[in-house]
Amino acid sequence: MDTLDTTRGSMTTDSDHRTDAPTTAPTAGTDDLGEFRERARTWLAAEMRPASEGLPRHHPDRFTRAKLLQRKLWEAGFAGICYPKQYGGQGLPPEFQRAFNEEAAAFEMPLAFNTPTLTIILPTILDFGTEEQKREFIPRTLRGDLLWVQLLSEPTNGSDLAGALTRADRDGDAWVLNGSKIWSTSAAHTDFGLCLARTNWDAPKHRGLSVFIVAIHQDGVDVQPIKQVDGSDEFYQEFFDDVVLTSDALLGAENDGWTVTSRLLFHERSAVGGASPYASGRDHVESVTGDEVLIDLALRTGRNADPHVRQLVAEGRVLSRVHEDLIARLGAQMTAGTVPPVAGSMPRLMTGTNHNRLSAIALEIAGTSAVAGPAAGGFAEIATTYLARQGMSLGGGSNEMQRNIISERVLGMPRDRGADTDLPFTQVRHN
Amino acid sequence: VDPNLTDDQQFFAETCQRFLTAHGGVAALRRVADVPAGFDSETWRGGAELGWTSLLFSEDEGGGSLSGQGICDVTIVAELLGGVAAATPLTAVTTFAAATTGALPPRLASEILPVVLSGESVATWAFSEPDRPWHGNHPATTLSRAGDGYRLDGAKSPVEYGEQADWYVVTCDLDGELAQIVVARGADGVTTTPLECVDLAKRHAEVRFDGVAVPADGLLRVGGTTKDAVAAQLRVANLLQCAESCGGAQRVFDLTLQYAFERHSFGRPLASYQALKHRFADLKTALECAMATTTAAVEAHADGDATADERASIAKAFVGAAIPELMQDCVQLHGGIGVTWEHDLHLFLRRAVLNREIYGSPIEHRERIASLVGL
Repeated sequence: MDTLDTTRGSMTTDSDHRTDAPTTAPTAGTDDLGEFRERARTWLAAEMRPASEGLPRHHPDRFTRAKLLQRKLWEAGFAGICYPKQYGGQGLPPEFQRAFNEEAAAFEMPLAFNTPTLTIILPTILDFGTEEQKREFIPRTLRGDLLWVQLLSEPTNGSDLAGALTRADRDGDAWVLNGSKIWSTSAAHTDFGLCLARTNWDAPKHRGLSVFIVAIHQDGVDVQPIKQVDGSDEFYQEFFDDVVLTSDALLGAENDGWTVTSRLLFHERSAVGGASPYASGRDHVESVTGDEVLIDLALRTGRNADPHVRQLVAEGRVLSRVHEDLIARLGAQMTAGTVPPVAGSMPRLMTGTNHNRLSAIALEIAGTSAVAGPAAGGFAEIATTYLARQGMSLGGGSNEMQRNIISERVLGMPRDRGADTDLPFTQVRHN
Repeated sequence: VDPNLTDDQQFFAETCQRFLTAHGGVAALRRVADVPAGFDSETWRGGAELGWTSLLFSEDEGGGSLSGQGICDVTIVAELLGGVAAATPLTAVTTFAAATTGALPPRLASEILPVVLSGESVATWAFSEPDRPWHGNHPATTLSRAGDGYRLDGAKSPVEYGEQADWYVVTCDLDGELAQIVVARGADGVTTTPLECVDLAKRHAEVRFDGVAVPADGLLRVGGTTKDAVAAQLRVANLLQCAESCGGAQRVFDLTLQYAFERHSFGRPLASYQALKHRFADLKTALECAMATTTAAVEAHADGDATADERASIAKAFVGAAIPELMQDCVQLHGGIGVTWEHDLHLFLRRAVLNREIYGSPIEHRERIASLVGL
């Protein structure tokens, strides 16, 4: 296709542009949805590998691979389809991203860019960033140079995000950051983070916070992996020791960081609920106990004719499919604006409850092999998944927080009164 | 159930809702509980005027749907009926329609369709058999050749409105092949026995056929694709059940949520207790799941998707298991009033439990899912 060649040709020069200049990825112009889809289909088939050839979930190279793939998308004019053109996006409506995602479903995609980078962080920068911040960070991210991390939870407060103890103190025009963040996904593989820090200790807790853009790989930032029960190290803890932040690191207004964080959480719920217009490629509900795994397990253990096992596998299948149906239903309603993004808490809750049930079913089917079996059998993973299973009910806001959100913000039930409202933060009891 | 109704469907739904409200809402069920027919014939004729009986028949037959996808429209009706626990022969007539549309010979079409479409007469599907697999592929009811026609022997149970219907489409065996034949209740050798039903109003019967003579043109199909036709009829039945149970569950949930705001204990509304709020969050999530999977199954059926059988079984397995439990938790949240005869909760629970068991229970649908995924 002509458009494809034009796109590639113009790209070689564009990729050499300095990133501080407003960079605009080339587009094929104002083609309609059908042409766009056709162009995507042709390009994907020619340029991208099948999804099955992608790197596995925990492969150490998957982030550099994702950056390379994101760069390819950008060069072809398929990155940031719904982002404004002046920040390097394509400036197209959500149906173009959906069409692209449908076409891309069978191909290896830079899925590591989706959450939080494309679906949570960049939308928040679009909402609150200064013109300079948007021009500085959005094009570089869309073209695959930057991955981002959310720096929200702390060792002393998980669900109660606004109780942050990490501090940013003014030093002339600059800020000095001290403290620690935890449960940051893949932090060591990212380039920048959005960090929630306390900037006023005399204000009530929600009104003394600010959000900063923090480079991960710099002096004073120590990033340590957290080894989890299943041996994985997907999450990290960061220690900030007198990290100097320039004044342009502040995202949104000083002491208005809770507004920024609330917006961040809004984008997170849209993403989790399947309603983000910025997700590129289809995120799969990742689980090592998915229903396909249960089917395979029943066959491998030779228990596929056991009526009880058949019931359990089917139960897992039902739960997985219904979860997808729920995401599709709420995603459509959120996109149409008929339900608020907080409804994304329902599929998030089900992610946790489903994983609990499915990992128990897997253990039931694998039986003895899972707890004391030959190393070659590959059944030990069933037990470790079961042991670590509550992680899925904790990450991204615990099941209990989701139930609070569903009851209070979807159903309108009364909020519990906190013991910390309207008190200066210095007078609030904390850990 | 479906959040993406067209304007026509939305208007249809609102018209049907007004009609049901005008006919007494939930209170109507208690009245028809004592009517021998188990439904109010005037209400049913009124529903027929709104189109309830016609949605799966073609325009040539005097039917027609709003959206061109009759299953989408008729599940809207089922959901609304579920919202007031209305007792009607909707599933009976709709499964009969699914089995016979485009297949009735002129003689039977002119005799049956006008009165069934107008709501004056009821037709139903005689399908289930005691002690036989729920999916009905190996019926013990047998058809044999006799003279120019056939004779039918066997028993079907439960048959929805089996005593009230004037016509049956009977799924049976003809020389080792699956067959479907239309039989009049008035034919010699047909006897009906009412069954005791968990529902206060909906009626079910055992229908016996003892050497019933059936004219040759009553045979709609035999062998070949008959199995697919029966599977499609079953999907229609399952989808109607799921939609009806979702409608009932929405109503029960709304009643319970409202009650939680109104009822005070220890000086606080029940709605303010976190232990109860979390229960409501789980109930709301289950309700949304039930609706989501029902919509997905309806769409798969409407699109003729290869996964339609599995999608219907997933919906039935989930809705069948989850909705009665949801309603039971709503009874618990109501406290003692919830287990009284006067309160409406049990009317919805009865319907949901009825829907849970017939046309395949969750256990049976899970077994089918296991087969369909290759176990």
